[in-house]
Amino acid sequence: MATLMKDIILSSSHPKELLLQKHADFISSYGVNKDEYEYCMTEYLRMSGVYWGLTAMELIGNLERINKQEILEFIKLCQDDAGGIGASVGHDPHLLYTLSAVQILSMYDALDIVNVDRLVQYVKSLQQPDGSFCGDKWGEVDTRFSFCAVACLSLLGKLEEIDVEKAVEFVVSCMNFDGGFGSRPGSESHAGLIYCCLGMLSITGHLHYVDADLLGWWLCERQLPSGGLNGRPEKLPDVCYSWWVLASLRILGRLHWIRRESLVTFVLACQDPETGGFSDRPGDLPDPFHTIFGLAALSLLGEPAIKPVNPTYCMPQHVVDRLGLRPQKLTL
Amino acid sequence: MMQDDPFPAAERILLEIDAVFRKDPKLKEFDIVPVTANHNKSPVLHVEHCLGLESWCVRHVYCYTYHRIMDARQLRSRREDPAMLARLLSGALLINPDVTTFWNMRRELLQAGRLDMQGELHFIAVLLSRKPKCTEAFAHRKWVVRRLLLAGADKDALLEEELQVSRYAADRYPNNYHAWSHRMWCLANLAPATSAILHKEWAASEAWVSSHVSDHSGMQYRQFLLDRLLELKHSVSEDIVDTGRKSIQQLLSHSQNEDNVDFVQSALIKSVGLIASELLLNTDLILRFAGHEALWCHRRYLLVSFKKILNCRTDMNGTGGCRYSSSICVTRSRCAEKLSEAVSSGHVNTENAPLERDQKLSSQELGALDRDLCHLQGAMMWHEAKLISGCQPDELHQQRLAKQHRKWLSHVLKLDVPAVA
Ligand SMILES: [Zn+2]
Repeated sequence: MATLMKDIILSSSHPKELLLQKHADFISSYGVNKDEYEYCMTEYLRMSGVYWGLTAMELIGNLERINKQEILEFIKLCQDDAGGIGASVGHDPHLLYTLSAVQILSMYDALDIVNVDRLVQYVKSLQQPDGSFCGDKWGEVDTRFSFCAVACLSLLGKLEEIDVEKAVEFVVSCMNFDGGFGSRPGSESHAGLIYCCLGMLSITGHLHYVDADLLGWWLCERQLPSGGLNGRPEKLPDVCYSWWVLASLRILGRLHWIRRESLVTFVLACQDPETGGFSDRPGDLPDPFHTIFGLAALSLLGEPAIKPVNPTYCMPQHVVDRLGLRPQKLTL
Repeated sequence: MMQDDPFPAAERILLEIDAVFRKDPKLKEFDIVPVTANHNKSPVLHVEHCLGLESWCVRHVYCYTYHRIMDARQLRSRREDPAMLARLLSGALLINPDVTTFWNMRRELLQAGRLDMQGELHFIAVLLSRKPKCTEAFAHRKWVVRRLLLAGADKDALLEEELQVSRYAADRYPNNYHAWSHRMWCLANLAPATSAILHKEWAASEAWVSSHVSDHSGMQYRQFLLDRLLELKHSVSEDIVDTGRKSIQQLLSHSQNEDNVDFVQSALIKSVGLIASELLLNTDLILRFAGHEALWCHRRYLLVSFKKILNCRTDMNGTGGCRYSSSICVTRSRCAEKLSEAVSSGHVNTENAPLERDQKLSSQELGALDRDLCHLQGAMMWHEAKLISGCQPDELHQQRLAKQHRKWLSHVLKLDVPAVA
């Protein structure tokens, strides 16, 4: 009796070439074609949606197709009196969207659009005595928010405003026996959270706390026979996890541990040949979230038609360079 | 932006949903029922403690509630009546529970005493039936529980309810990260310092993982429990000790080791016994349910814990390697505890007398301990080798996992796998 493995089977009908122009069209028309219901359903994460779309466009050299002024106006309206930034106009501020906004403004070199001092105060106010960060004033703690906080402040050149040592201590306390990280101390290792924790340690220069071989081992085991990567044992492969695992391996200096060719094949198969855009798995509906992570993954894998991406910030490398940031990376 | 035609039926639908929650305290499920045409009767269904909303009206109800709520949020309209606002939020969140701002508004209503805390827990539980892995719903649940705690609510009753809800969500969605995280949070924040609840969870979790062999999150929860049991100041239950003792015997007997009587009488039994019995359970599941990565991952955790105990001696001497100050503390105090158990039950009269960390064991005692640990390590590796070689060659996936396990043993755990005939 053969057991079925949780994986997908790639067929010859899936795309094998990179459909760059289609992706640019997909992103630039995304939102334009949305009806009112879809608009209302997705408004709660619009700021991140804009970040995904913009980053994708910049990585494939099509940023000029986006109306910059409109976006800057939008971000300005999303800053709350407390300094934090919400997902959209009228939505409450949250670290997730504050980071997305700062990433967009960094790309546009337009940080002065918002009140930076108050924004920094907002981020600072969310640090807890144990070093962790809440996502907003309602108190939910998660290592994702530790990443958001330090990524945000480092882009603003204000990392010293928080207690970095304590923040690092909390993230390190979320490390597990398998070398991975979870959302809180004792929580299961999870590729998305591993990316956040490594990103946080990379920005603050504390990667020496990580057991890179052990964690690299775990990350490589995310690769399935189809070439795609999952985020945890016995989950299906997914383009967004392909990015998180890959970026983590890049930060650890162990990108070459992965079977590159088959991963490229998997990611390319997740393109929608009609509409453009990437989906989580071949044949599913594409969206901007999987589109940026598909493109960014291909960039890390050396696709020359896509600009280099920085694995820590998931932003174009030239932007990170312009800001003079040197997030730590390990070498083998 | 364009607005659909206003939907006059929306308020009536919201009232009906609200009424169902009010009149049915046993309401347990919500779902959207695929009915594409409006048949001119109410789209709100209520059957056997399940609430349904016909799909044709979903987009209208959602757009209506979304705009009204956002207007209220930005104070563009007159102040919304709190009861009305609560109904709007219920309707919107049942359809789309990912909107953080809407949960924030509910928290404000709760703070103002405009919503009932217990009713809120019920609302979330019903909502989770449709979206069992909703991050925001679990975050909100924790917030409500924290407030109830501050208000002096009965911890035991709260814990009972939370364990039930997290189990329900875990049953409805495999590898449910949030459901299991929530469970761990509840145990850490609501459970009394006594061991009774841990024992109960340990037993229940054995049954759960045995019937969910590909659920790594459920197994990781079991690792959390095991850690708590190992750390427990009180002794574990007689049952666990007994199973542990038998498991150690079984493990040693497989390793062609005659000399096991001494060990079984010493008192590393609690920790080693717990891990040994879990290892045997895991072996059994791996053999019965071939090809499940989650089981093999869980096994790694057990072997790492096992090795940690075996390494106690080096840790006590200060030569054990652990780079993190926090974890080195845990390891050391755990080791000290293990050794103190060994001493107190074997050689010292006072039961469970806490020993100073740096208290010296006699050379005779240390010798016996070393011998036991050495036997154990041999038995453990023998067991691994048997398992790996026993995997059926026609089970490709299982073979792959077994091969990977062997590699992990030698590269990560840095222990050689003996050859077995
Ligand atoms: Zn995904």
